[in-house]
Amino acid sequence: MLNDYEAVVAQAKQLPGRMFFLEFDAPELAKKCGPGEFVMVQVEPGTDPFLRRAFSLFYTEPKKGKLTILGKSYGFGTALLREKKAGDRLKLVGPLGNRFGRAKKKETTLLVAGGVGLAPLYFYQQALAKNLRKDTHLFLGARSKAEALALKKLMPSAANLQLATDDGSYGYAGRVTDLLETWLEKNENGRPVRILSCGPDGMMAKTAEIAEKFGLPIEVSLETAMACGWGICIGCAVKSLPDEKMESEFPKTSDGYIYQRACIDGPVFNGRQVAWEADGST
Amino acid sequence: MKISFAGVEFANPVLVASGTFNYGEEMARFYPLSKLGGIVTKSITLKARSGHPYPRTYETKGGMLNAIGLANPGIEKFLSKKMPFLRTLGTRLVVNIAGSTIEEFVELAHRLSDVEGIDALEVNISCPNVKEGGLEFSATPQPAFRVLSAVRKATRLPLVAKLSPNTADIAAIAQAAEEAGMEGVSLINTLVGMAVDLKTKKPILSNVTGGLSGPAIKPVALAMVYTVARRVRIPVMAIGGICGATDALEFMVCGATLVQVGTANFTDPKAAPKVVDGIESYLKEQKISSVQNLVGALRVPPEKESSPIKLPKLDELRVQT
Repeated sequence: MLNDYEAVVAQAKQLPGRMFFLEFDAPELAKKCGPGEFVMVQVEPGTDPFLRRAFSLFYTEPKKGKLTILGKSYGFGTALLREKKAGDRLKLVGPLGNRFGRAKKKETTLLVAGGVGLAPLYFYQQALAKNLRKDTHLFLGARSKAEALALKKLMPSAANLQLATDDGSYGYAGRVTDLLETWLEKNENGRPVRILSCGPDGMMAKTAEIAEKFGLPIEVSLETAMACGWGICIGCAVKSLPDEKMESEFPKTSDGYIYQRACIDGPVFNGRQVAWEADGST
Repeated sequence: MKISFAGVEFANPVLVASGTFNYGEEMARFYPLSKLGGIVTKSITLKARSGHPYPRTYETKGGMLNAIGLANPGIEKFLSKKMPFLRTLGTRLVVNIAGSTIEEFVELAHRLSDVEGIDALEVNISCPNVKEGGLEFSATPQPAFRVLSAVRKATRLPLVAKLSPNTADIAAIAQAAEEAGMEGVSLINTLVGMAVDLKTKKPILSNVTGGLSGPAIKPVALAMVYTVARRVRIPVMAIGGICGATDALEFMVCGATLVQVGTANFTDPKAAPKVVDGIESYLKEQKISSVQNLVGALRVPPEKESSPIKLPKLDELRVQT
């Protein structure tokens, strides 16, 4: 059963780069969530903004009844969320969507994150038993030192973290996907590798290209505009190659692709089947 | 709370609107669907449709635009994959059909006629998001009459025509529907609307235009339900920005026998059952013995009315053979 939970903001942090962090007291919901899943947040009661906003779960502390989200202020609804304070009450529907797949035995998982795309990937790493986290590497790209450090501070127990900044002010100067490529080129122990990625579309498209080049499996967590978030409006269309093993809800398009719903069939998708546009968007 | 419409008895007057509930599987995760008076399915077309490219939705003040493009699995998969689940729900089932030609509407009605578990068909002649078969069937009375008469001949199932507000005189379209033999009409479908991205100077929706729905359209819907209910004798199902019981009751007072909760399902998953509970509370508080007593109870000063609201009489609702 899915539910609409009333959650209380326990902590609210405004971060550089218009980002924000919210920690909620939501004991019933926190226990049900897994990495990859998302919640639909009602920003204000009433009709302004009209629709909820979707957020991948950042990490949960089920024993303390806490769940967290990481966001960025892009427009009206997210700007309001960035102004929330401890004590504010918000409604959350969840857990929605699908989870990242599990790693196979002895498989190394590389997590490639861009900005607030960090959220589901850090959740994935944290949800692993401590002894398994060392088989994962977290590559995080941010725009500047201030943003990189703000995100790093939110992850005290991140394992094998490497940072990249666009402006070179901290960590590696350049794209986070360079860190991925470097690691793969150096991968001497020859262990099987898989990739999980979340961030701007262009970054994920590049990551998928690298995965293709090295012949590696890759899952991506995609973001779309969503009206409902629970499968009934059919608005969150993601274009991808059909999977001949699975029956698709909707038929192929004239150019041989299918549309899936990010809220039901995703948000985690096979990165090598997603139809990335020429400009790197989905 | 029981109420009759087109010869079908509903446990309560609250249905969920086509295009806002898919085929029930997703929403069954939130509450037992037997709570509802009925479900109107997402439109079925003869051939499966993939829908328009993304983006298909956009938020507006007090509502949203949609241009989904009638994405649906098509009638064959509907019958084999969706009907079995729909039959288990313990609520009335209205199947919405959409065609691009009269022949397609007729074929759909014919193929759904002997399917067990279907209580009525809603004929979607008013979708604004498809090139053919939508608005041109519901913008003027003659095309509406032609398509609906043809559908009438194809089936004995109770038929409800879904009307568009994108017309100069919706009551005239409703009259055409009545003359064509429809047992009822449902209104309103969405209003044609658009959104623009100034940075790129492009329309936001991939289809350029879409349909506006939500609380923003409720005043338009109320006026149209009021006007139509006065003009025809067949009963009316009201759609348009119904978010709570008060909204639903306002539409009933304006002449609607049943109501459909649509876009509200996207912002509160329990919007529809809350409307059911709210109507029940209202009847208790107001000591109203039957919800039927509210239908058309609107009091308009005589000088403002050219003719009184005609309430549907029971024997007029039965199918004329």
